[in-house]
Amino acid sequence: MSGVLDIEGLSVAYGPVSALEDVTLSVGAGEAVALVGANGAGKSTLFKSIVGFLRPRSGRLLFHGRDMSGFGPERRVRMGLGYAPEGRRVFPGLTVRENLEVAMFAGRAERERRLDRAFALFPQLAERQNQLGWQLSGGQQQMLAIGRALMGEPRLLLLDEPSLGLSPKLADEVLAAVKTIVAHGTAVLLAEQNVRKALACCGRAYVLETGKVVLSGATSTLRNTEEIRKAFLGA
Amino acid sequence: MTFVQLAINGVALGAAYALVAIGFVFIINATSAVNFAHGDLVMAGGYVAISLGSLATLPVIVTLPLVAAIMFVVGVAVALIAYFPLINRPPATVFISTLLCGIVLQNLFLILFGPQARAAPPLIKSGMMHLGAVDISIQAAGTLAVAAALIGLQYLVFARTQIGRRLRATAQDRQMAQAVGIRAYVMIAGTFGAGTALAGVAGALLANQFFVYPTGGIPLSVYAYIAVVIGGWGSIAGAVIGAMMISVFQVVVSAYVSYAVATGLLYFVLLLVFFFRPQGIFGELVQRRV
Amino acid sequence: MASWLLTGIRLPLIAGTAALILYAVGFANLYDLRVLTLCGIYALLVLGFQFVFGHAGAVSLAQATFFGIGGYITGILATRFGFSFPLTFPLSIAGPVLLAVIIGTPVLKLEEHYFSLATLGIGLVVLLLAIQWSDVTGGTNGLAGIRPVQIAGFEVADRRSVLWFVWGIVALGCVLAHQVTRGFLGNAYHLMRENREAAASLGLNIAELRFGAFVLSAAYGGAAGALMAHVLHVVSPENLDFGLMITCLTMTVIGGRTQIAGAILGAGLIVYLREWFRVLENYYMVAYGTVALVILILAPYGLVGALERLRLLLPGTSSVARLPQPLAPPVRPALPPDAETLLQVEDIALAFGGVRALNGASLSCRPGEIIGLIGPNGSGKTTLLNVISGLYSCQRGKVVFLGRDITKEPAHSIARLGMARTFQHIHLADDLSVLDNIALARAGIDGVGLVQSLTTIGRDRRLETARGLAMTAAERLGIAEVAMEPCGRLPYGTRRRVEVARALAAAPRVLLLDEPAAGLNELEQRDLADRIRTLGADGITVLVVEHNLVFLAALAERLICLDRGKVIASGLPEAVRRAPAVIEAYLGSDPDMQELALAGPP
Repeated sequence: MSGVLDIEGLSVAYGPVSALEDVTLSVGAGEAVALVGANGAGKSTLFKSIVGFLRPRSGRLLFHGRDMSGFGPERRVRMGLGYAPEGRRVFPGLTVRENLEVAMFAGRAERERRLDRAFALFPQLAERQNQLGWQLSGGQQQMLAIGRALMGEPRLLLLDEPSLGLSPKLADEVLAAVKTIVAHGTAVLLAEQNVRKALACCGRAYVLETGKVVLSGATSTLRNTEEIRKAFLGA
Repeated sequence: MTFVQLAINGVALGAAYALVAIGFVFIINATSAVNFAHGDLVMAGGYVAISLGSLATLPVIVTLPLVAAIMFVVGVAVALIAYFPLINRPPATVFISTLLCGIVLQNLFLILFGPQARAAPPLIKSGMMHLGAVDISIQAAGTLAVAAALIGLQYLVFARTQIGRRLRATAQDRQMAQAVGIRAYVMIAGTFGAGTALAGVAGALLANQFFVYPTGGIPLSVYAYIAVVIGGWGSIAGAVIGAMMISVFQVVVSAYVSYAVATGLLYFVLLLVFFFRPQGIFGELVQRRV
Repeated sequence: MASWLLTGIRLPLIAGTAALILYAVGFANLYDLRVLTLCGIYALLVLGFQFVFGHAGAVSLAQATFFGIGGYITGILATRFGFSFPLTFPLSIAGPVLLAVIIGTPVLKLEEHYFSLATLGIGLVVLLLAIQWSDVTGGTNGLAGIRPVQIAGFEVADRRSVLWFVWGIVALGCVLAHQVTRGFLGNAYHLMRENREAAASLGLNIAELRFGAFVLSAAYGGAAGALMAHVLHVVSPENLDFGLMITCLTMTVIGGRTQIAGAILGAGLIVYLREWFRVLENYYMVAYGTVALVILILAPYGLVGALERLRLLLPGTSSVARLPQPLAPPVRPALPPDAETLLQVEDIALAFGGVRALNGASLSCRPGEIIGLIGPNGSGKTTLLNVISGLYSCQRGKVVFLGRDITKEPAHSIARLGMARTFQHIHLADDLSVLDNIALARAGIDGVGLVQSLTTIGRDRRLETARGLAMTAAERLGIAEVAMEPCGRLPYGTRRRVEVARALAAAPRVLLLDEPAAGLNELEQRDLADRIRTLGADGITVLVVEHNLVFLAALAERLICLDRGKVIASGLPEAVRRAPAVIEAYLGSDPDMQELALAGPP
């Protein structure tokens, strides 16, 4: 009960369509947890519910033991949640530097310190500080989205499909950053289609299938499970 | 009048139009809807300046900050009445609600100030000043200076300050702005306020030379709309250029032919723009996210 | 008879009409008669505006312009040339129609806001012309002394006759509007308004539909303007101005955007609101604007629209009165026996900004084949379907269908050639019944249009035939029991099947399904797979985009896998699922995982 994030019995629906059913999941402090599952299994829906874009039909969302159900997304983020969404969604008309600055609520000196940290994590961004968001390549946009999500110094980072549409090399680069982030003490919940990569950089994993958690446990034991193969490629 | 004087008058009028158009673009960017009450809010600014002027005989330059503050509040009120209740409806619905808002405003003006055209006190004082070989009206020069200062100020706020960045981020992707901790709804209300404040200041500046009357806002809404079409949907710099082009065109053509021909030609040119470049003359500066 | 009365809003409508007639005959004084006459004229104006604004969904700001032009034509011809009503009235309609025909095509291509501004610009040019060209138009004063309506020597002069005359024309207008919007065409507009892509991929020509609505609105506007000129005996620039446009818009928004009763209610209410609020003296316009704003916020579909929505909540309301007999689908001419490929896609490339969605994708389908198109998120599956069905145009490559190059064809022509599709997000008209939604598949193919709607008297046999065919499709998908229900009330899985049935009712040669199993439970998935399989047996080629491989395994004869806009594997399902490139795309390049995948089920 002392995790960063505790989700209990969460169900979410889009109108008549059920998207998540009775999902229970937790992330401990400083832990990296993977969320794997095929397209449409409900990974993004889960993230959107955690951030507060979707109102769950039932269940509880606790952040550091506090129920977040009444709070809007901006409040949740300021409480220490970082969100790098699927499709990156960097602000297209803001420069790289502005994209990072806009996500901080701190004094000037502190802002500079955090910018330096982001640039140290992703040196490519430092070189392109003054380019506009839409001018970046997909990989750079992904780095920017992650960097932006870290600007509030979150205690939990939600990463939704960071390798989507990236070449394998770039995907490796982005996921290598995840390890660094965890090493700095931020807990990470990572949704990935690429199972191997997800399992490689996380300690525990949950497998989602059509809105339900069908499997969970340490990645070392999950790697050889038939269920994972089934969840992706069918029986 | 010489051509130089004409051009200066045109640019001064254009500067005031530019303020109107910038406010209009603010609201388009924040809500992706057209605010057709915008011209009426310009008139409201003019009436506020007149009312303040009748309380104490002060030049407008002194009361201008107060005009801006009052109009900011009016803008937030318009957002609360005509935008937020319809936030999840298609932009066309917001367009209609602002039209209705405009009707209410126009008739409030009629009740409070009567149907006749009224003039606000001058910015500093009336008369001309001599600048080398040309005489320039002080009002025109003052309008130009105030508008330039405000355009510069809004640029600085948007480009350099944290609040400006947050306003832009909200305009570009409201949901994502919330997801980085920005209070998006406060930003939208603030954008309405700021856009309306600029409209109000423009009204106070225009109300000396061009008068205000209850239905005077309609053509201004249309001009702002045209300026945005010329300059590219959502572009502030484009709107300034568009507003300048409209006013110089209007001043020059009406001096040599007539005001009616100027207006008619303006609409005609607009239709031509639509026909050949439906994306505006300058296009959109930021590519839309796919 | 009793049930006829109770359908829709017929009972209150008839009662209301009767009460009004009684009032006009028995109690109205001269002033009331005048007000009622004005109500009729505005109702005609609004009826016209409903075509473009309500049915076609375009915020035109030119309706007052059409009204004014109609008035001026009557005024000029009557006062300067002494022409009488039988000549001036048709010309007053023809003038605005001509303007609409000339400007319609370029203006209707513009996006929403630009369309509004362009129509406003046209209106302002006409207004300036009316003021400036004073030799002909009388300038700001306008033209006075227009005689009352005269037909064959008989003058419609006293106020009671004028009232009946105007309302007679309104009644005619209502009948025509009913003809246009009652059946097939009305449903086509309905779907087009809710989703243009869906309408286009059913073979509906959007540009033509919008153009028709715009021209009709001009005709009604001109007629109303002409009547107004006769009733007031003057025309002036006020007949053209923006204030009138806003009045018309307000009436439509308040009464209802698509209902004939809404036009009459809106016009009547606004005219009377003004009369009632006159007590408030100067405040009346403020009160009137405020009331309109409140109605816009509380009843976004207008008062009549709100009533209809309330009724829709009750059971037993449907756009179909009774279920038709299922009809056998028409037989498409047989393909030549040597037709090896029905659909050929070659080297398609398409980029959005810097993102390459498709990068040289090629595939081909044989007649009667069921093919699964798989690939990870963002690999370009849906984009490829959009290119094939003509919703996107590709930057490179070629699509050949039935031996014909359709790369540059618009979506509606491709649909009419025999291609049908469904969408990832369901696009149905929620207020229409299941049967009418499915029947719409025939609308484009049968070429519904204005002329046809106006000349169909009595029962619309085309619609009846289409409903019969729709019934067959509904039976095939197992949704015949809910055929009369409005789609919006149905559960998700059923709505999915309605979409598939709609595509099927088009009797396509190729059926493109975009994630048909998304959101369905396992039982529903299995059922849908069984039904799709029978289609293949009937010679329909089916291309299914799906990420649910379990669903596809039971269905597809062949799998094609896309990754980053390219086909990386194609062949028998087992082979594709074991292809290293596919496993890598889905699972990454871990040797352990590959081994696991290759090992197959224990």
